[in-house]
Amino acid sequence: MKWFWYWCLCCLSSVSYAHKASDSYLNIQQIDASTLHIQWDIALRDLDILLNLDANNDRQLTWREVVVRTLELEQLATQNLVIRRNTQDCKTYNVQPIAIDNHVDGAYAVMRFSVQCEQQGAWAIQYRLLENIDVLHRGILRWQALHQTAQTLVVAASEQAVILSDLSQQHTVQSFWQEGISHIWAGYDHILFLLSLLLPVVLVRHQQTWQPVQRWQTALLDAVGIVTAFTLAHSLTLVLAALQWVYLPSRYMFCNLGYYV
Amino acid sequence: MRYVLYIIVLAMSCVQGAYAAPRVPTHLQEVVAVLPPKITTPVVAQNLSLEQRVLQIQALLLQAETTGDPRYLGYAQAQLQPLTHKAVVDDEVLLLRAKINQFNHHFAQAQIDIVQVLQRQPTHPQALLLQAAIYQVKAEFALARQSCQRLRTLSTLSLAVICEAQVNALNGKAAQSMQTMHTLLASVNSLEPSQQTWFYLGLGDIAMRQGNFKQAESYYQRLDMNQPVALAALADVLLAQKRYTEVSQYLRSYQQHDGLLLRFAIAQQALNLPVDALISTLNARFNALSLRGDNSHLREKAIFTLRLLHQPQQALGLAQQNWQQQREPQDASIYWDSAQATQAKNDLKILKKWLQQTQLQDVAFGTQVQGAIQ
Repeated sequence: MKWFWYWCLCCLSSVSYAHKASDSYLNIQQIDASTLHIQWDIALRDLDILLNLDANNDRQLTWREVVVRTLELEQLATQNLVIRRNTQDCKTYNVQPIAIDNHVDGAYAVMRFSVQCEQQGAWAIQYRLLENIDVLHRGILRWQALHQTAQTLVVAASEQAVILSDLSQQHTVQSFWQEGISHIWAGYDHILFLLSLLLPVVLVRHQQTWQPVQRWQTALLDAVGIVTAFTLAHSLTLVLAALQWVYLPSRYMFCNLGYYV
Repeated sequence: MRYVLYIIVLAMSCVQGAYAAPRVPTHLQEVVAVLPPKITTPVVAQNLSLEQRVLQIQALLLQAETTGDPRYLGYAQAQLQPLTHKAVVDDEVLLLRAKINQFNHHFAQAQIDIVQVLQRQPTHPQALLLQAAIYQVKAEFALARQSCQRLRTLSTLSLAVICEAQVNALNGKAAQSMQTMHTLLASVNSLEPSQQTWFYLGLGDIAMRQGNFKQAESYYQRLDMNQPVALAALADVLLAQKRYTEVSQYLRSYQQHDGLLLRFAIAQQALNLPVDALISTLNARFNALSLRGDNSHLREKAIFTLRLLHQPQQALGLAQQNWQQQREPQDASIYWDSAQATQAKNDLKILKKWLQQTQLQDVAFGTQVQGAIQ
């Protein structure tokens, strides 16, 4: 019953949390064709949950209590982070001494090491820190491939490996293209809307009746025109909405969808 | 040339300051971290019975609430997961999941679980209270009232009364609600401490919206001031009376709490004390949250952006986003203030219409609005 009343209390509370949920900061930088430099900041609090670092249980974690567990900390790092290239696990080497850094929610252990991987192929990482222990834990991954701009990914601990995408220009154009196609195909409404726009393409109004068009080129030209106009208009509205330059309440929009069509 | 060098060095030192480099402590005795009390419940998965596991999750949620630390929510959720991989998930488990989702501002997901419980047990008190609370946050007052009314059975009648009074208080019947709550005041001492907290917070809130700050304050003063939620309520009523020094005194030692630090910084600013360090701390915390894709702090971020960064245009954007998530009086208030600061006519129109519809009564905010409507 007591618990139940705390619930009610929670219902009322609209105060946000002191600390944030757990994050680790994982910085991966490609140095040459097959080498990655890695810096991984893990909250000492989280490490204490996993390894019981605070040996004397006084909740004052001393540097000694951390340093004497170096070996286990390194093991933990290699067990919970596997980097693969071309489906082959990379090999860890050149592990540097543990250091300490502060983030907004307290002190973190900083682990730095390098990994040696295959010369080429797709990159993937398997991240498993605090898996099945803290569901809200995230790895904030900053990934910088050779000669490319860095990207930030937020990964949740999972058995499933995360594929690190290629950010080259060619790849970006390609992925935009794919996103566009899947966006249109994903909803029936887009396809139906386009079809209804395209129906009159093969017809022409002549002497108050609808006649089939004579030349296929006319129909094709009309179709291209309509599809292009649709694409431009749809992209424009998406940009306006995404940048929040135009905001319309969705309930009115959905009610009137039929009317607009 | 020397000048240029100075600038480069200065710039580099700034960058260093922003991203402090990892350091290796020189003394083995140095305390590198002060850890929170050890969690009494082991979080590593074990073979436990359903009852044991539910108890463990409840304990973790309680800790999340009393400390205000979301890590405990993560542990609770991890404990909950194995219990949800079943064809028919137990009502108790569904409710816990709904509760966690509510904590994380995932209201729609929480509702799905609650509805499932209510289909099987239409008068389940916890489910109904939770549902009412979520509807209340979303300002769906008619639905919230319906949930409260379903609590009107013999055993939960008082709950129904409090629940309804709280909804009505936000929906044009503050005075009546106040009276109703007052009639319950006499029997409050027979309630458990946590029950009293719930009651007084609700009562104080109504008083505050009616402009009876002293009365609200006296209700809040009866609470255990170690709870972030009680401190925040007290700070708000003191801020409303411009009693900044007291706010500053109360909150000085609670700066690890984002919501309380925000109020502390607002008070410090009003007292013309330096706030740069507080602003950069808050900024870093909000950045860390958005880095992990957490947007459950939009209200606080909007308040921070308007009151401390003095960037009304950005604050308005945040307040708009927040308005899509939740619509409590404080959400309306920051939306209104940012819209006014930027003279955003469209937003002001949306808000005025909403205020007329809901008949929300709130002096701090209501008088401004009424002035604007006329």
